Amino acid sequence: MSSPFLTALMSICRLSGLLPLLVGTMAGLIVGVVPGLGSIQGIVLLLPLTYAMDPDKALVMLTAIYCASVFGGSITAILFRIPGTESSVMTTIDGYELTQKGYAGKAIGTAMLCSGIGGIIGVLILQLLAPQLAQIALKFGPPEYFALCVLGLSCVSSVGTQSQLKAVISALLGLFLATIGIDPISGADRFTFGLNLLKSGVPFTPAIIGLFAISEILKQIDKPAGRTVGSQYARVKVQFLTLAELVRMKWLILRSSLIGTWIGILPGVGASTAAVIAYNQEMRLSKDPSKWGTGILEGVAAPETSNNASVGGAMVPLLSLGIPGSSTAAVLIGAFLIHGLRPGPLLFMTNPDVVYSIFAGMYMANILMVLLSFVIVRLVVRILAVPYSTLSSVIIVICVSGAIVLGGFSNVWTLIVFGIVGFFMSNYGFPLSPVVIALVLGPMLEANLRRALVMSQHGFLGFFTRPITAVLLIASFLYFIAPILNRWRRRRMGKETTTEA
Amino acid sequence: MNTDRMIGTSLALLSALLIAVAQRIPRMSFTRGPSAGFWPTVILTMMSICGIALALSADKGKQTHAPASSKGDLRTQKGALPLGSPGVCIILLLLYLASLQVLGFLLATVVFQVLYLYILRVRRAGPLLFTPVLVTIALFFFFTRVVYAPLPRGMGIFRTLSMLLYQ
Repeated sequence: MSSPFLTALMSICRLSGLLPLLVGTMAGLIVGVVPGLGSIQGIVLLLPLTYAMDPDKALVMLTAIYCASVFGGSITAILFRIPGTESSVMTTIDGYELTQKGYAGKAIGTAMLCSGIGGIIGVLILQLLAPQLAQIALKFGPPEYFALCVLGLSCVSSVGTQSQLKAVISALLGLFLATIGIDPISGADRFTFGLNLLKSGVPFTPAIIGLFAISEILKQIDKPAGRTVGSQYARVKVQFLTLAELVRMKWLILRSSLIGTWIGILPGVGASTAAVIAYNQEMRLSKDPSKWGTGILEGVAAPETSNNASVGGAMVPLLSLGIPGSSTAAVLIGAFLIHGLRPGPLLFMTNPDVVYSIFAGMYMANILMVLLSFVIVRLVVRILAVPYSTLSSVIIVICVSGAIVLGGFSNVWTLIVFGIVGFFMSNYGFPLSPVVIALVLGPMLEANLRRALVMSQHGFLGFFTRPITAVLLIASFLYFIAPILNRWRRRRMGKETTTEA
Repeated sequence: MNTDRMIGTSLALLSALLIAVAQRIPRMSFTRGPSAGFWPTVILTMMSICGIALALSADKGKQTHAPASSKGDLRTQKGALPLGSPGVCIILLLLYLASLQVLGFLLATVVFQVLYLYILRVRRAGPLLFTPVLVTIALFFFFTRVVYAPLPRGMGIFRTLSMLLYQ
């Protein structure tokens, strides 16, 4: 650790430095927990408070919001199946299943610890390798982005489902929904049927909140009365991973951190994609992929580590090249400019104190985030003692208000329509996770496929002339086909055994 | 007819219909490469094939999914009625959305919550009346005063009432 870094760390540890960090981290956790609000809204809301502050303290506060908001969304994702932010979508899958099994405290503890570790590894990579990594990331072209998305989608046939065919149909539905709206390349209207509200496409956040939260409420209503969430989970006590569990998951955490940081570095790809890719990757490497999606700690650890690591990654192109790695990073550029700073290679020379303060602030924010989460979790958990009838009415109203705040009244229709669709899909055995994965990756997949085809001289075959693309596509094919072949082989072996008997 | 077979057939037909729509998406003369309808056509073709596969794989005598639990089943299995009916809840949600623009956020939300809780067999005055009012006011102040986000204000007299709280 260099001495300017230690100076910055010491400065942050003083009361004048610690206060903005505390405010930023707490605000980040709160905006993360509330559906409809996220890191962008948090930064925009607190930006006016920073006008009178020193640039280093102001930017520390704003980056702390960014770090903490990514984790905040996981609390409601685990407890209520409401992903507070887009990046916590994958946490919902296993996190909520763990809550259903009575392990909400363990799931939250795992998310807290892994988010902290992932965030710190992300910042460490940012501090050590920012300029070099940014240059490599810029060499990633449309074929590589396309292959990355295909890799992300290749797991859909095995995420917590009994029927692979239904999982594939769910993913195709998600991909189709992602095509609705004005085509980003040619500007043509697609499947809008003259409706203005469809022109900008299916709004992602209301759609996922509807699919997960509203559909879950409708499902719970169909269950016997007298059951309250509170009676099951009122005594939720946050439990961290034990040392043995941490050792067992060490490689998972390291891999997810690296995946998250790398995805964060890629311009235009955010924390939600990082969580999807890390979840899928770990599921494939797992000894028993069939357990994923049924409520396992690894299913919480992988996306949580990865989405928080992506924050450090997103800061790499921002600080070293002045290019935003995510939409939140783009808002942060505005904050830099307000304070008279221009992010980019020169920033390291002209304002090293600010750069090192940001590094130190991000380390501290990740630690504070874990500590402050206890307070937030304690408050949120109290809500669980409320009878389900009352709780569900409050959840519906919060979701509706959040949807309105996100982008107007049309979002509420999206929320409810997706809630109803999600309810019927789950009732008929169609898993919801592939829809969400496809909605996240769909727009990026299509845009990059088309750009790559325009660039390519040899059509689809041209993809295989680029080594990274070829490896990713072949791996995707193998990953997709593996569970289907396994099932076919098991069925065949079963038949042979029956015949022999 | 088996549910999966019905879903598969409907999916295949709907996909075919949407493929026809995708074929009519205009191709912009200034763009090179695949047209805007290319990718949706690929997806819908695959969806159509999967729909046919689902319809064909559906076994008449066997239900592949756990059907939406009927109330009768629950009563015998668990000895208790369901908390409420999803159908009624869906209708109530749609009515809530329709009324939001007319009644405004405050009134529509309070009425929705009271009716929703009543349907879910809440009869005690505290949770039935006070919770909706408190929750609605808390959310209203959070979103309008802290986040500065506009919530529906209603029409006519309801708008006038809402505006009193906005001041």
